[in-house]
Amino acid sequence: MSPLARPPALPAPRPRDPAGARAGWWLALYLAAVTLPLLALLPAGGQSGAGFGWDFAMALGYASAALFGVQFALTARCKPATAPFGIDLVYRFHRHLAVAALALLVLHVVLVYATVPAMAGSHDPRLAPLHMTAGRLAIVCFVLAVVLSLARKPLRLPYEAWRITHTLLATAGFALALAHIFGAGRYLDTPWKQALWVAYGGFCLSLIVWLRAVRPWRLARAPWRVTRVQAERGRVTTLQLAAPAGRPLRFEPGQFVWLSLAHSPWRMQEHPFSIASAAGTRDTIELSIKALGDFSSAVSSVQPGTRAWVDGPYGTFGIDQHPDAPGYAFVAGGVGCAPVLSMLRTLAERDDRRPLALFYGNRRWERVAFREELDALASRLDLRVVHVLQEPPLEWRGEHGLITRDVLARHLPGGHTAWHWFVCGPTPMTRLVERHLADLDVPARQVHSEIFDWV
Amino acid sequence: MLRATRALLLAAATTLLVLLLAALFAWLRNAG
Repeated sequence: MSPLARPPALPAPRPRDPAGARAGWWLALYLAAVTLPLLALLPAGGQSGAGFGWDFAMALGYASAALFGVQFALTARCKPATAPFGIDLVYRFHRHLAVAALALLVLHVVLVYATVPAMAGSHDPRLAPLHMTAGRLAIVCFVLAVVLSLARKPLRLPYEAWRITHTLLATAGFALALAHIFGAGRYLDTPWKQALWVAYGGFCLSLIVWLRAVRPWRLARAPWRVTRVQAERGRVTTLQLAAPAGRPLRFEPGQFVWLSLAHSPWRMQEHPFSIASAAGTRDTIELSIKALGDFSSAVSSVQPGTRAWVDGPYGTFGIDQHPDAPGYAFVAGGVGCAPVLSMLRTLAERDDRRPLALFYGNRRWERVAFREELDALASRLDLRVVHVLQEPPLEWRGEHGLITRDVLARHLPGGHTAWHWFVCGPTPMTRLVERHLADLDVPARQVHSEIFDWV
Repeated sequence: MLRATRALLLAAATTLLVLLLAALFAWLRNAG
């Protein structure tokens, strides 16, 4: 069925529970998970006698271990926990917290050497106690895990190789840190405290088993199939994927999935892509993918019938998060139009009559993907499409250059400050547009974007 | 980027809280 064929109008979703309250609960749970393991050690028998610096050093060591442990939970893709924030924000939080946990770990070591240097013992692994060597190796693992993540792009590390290395380093680092904690035995003077840390360590490590073994196993049982491969303008390829029988994908327009093609879900070759199709069609989804890296460039040569694995949906970038808005505006750059297309197609499917505007930036006219369909959607919806070209043809009479404040101001819809705005494209464009919208008095809470460059 | 800033602020606040708790832990163990 063509995405523009008119099915019976679907109802818009009902307003959802306030995400703020759910976010607050999950944040409280997170803070409890990183602080309780430390606080539980407080009622230790007697005073340490080694002074504030030493106890602070020990506390920082435990706090760092707890932060690293909960890092596994942040990337376990638990939908109820990530939904109130948006999984992109959770992954970015994970990235910042890794740096913070490493900083606390370094401070732990510095303070040990500064307060009671004799406790650090020999650096020679042949002479040092095993738990001290384990601690030092844990630091090496964590430093490598963090540095390789921050420098993956400058170092041009392939994504798959980085993911495997990252998982191994993080798991080994945390296991070694636990060995260090139990070997050193500070404050672990009662069986219940030891049991608490065993349970805590076991839980954190079981999350990696969940993410890398249980979840792929569940995906493997329900393979999807590529049913159509369509070349679009601008080196974009649209894949249509059919869900396994009886297992349609319920998603909100604007959400994304992790896609794994041809190999198996056990291989770490999955990549996140926005769904471009309408949310009312659940037996198939469409992903529009631009050839940017090795994986996305290979998508154009995928054959119909190829098996695929789809993990999702994820993300909070979408109109259904804000169903009561008087109107929606979209600012898209290049293939950033894919989630916008999903929202527009869904609005058309629902016969939505609210006013809409799309500012669509591209380099050249002949590379503007989906432009005919956008014209068709404009005639069906109350939609105004403003194309902005960086290298317009000679006869071009429309907007050109970047999507600037002036471009937005020239085409601003009436009442635009009450609308919800969705910005999707390269990070520099998103930053600029957010600044322009603030200048144009659009409240920040009504401007939505998604973080793309995770690693 | 608004979301990136939000993630950064949340991470900074969490780190500060953990640091304060670690200091409180050390202070309580040495108090009195």
